[in-house]
Amino acid sequence: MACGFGACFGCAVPKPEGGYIRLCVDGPVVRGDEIGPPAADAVASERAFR
Amino acid sequence: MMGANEREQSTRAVDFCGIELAHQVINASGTYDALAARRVFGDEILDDFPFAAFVSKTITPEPRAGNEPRRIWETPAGMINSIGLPNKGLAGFLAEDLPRLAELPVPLIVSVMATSAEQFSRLLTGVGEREEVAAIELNVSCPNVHSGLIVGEQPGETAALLRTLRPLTGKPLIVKLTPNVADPAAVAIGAEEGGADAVSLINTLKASAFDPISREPALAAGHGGLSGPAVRPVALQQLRAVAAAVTIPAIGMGGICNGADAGEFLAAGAAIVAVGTENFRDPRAGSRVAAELDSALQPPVSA
Repeated sequence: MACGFGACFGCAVPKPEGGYIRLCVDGPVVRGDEIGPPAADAVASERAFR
Repeated sequence: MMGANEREQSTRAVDFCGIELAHQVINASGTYDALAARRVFGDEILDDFPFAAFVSKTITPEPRAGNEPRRIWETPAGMINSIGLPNKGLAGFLAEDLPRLAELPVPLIVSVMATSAEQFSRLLTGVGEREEVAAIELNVSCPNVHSGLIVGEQPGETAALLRTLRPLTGKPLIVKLTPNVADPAAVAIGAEEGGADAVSLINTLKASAFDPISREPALAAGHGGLSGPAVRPVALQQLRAVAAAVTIPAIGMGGICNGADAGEFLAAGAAIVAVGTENFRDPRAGSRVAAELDSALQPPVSA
């Protein structure tokens, strides 16, 4: 991880519905079902970051 | 003899393309998320914002999720990244992010990237008409879908793009130069001929790393861009060549960590400087570098 405060977008973790969270600012603790490999029908251009 | 206060004024405030800056240090695009920083550090950052202007992450016409991880890899005195420009797209940026970025106490520079002159025009028109935006930086390290060429690697493509975009906005246009060319000064000349108001350099150097056991690339994308102190001498020479070739001002960047580093870029011909990778280590690096710059530029006291 480069920064730890949301600047570098390096700690991206995939969401099942597509897109990513930033573990540093959207975590560091998250529900297990909120992360995981994207489902086959996940939209690639899903808005990634809150 | 100048007093301390006079000297401070003389080295700090600067006019850049008609934009008044409180000092000479801004951020490199994509290395500081002002909205996330406000969420993490609170509204205090508005009272003492680290940069004299804020440069946004690059905005593309449509939303992008970014690249598959792993996205970053540490190297000696630097890092390689292949983040992949995650962003909300033009409409999302204008509706959600721009009003909040306008609350920052400094001028806003929006970085944009597209893969055709038509899509670049769409971005310029959308961003250019918003009064919250002081200037626009063009990220030209991308292929033109029509020619297949990386715009920023070709002086002719760069000049042609600028000629298309120049009439669309009265706001200053800054061309972010790629270092991955034999002659960056030729591209800078193309940008100036096309009507650019300034250039900024350097972007990251193409780089890769491997796991020696698995023999797989360290980054999921296979390669990325190198930044940090490792690139500083390369950046200084490219800046020196560019500054000698054009009359428009240059924003110098590449591994700046402190005031002395920033002073080197000013000596090499930069009008102002940007801090990038160092922001990841020290989120207040901008104000620190600006303060150090003042003392770094004072000549030694003679006996």
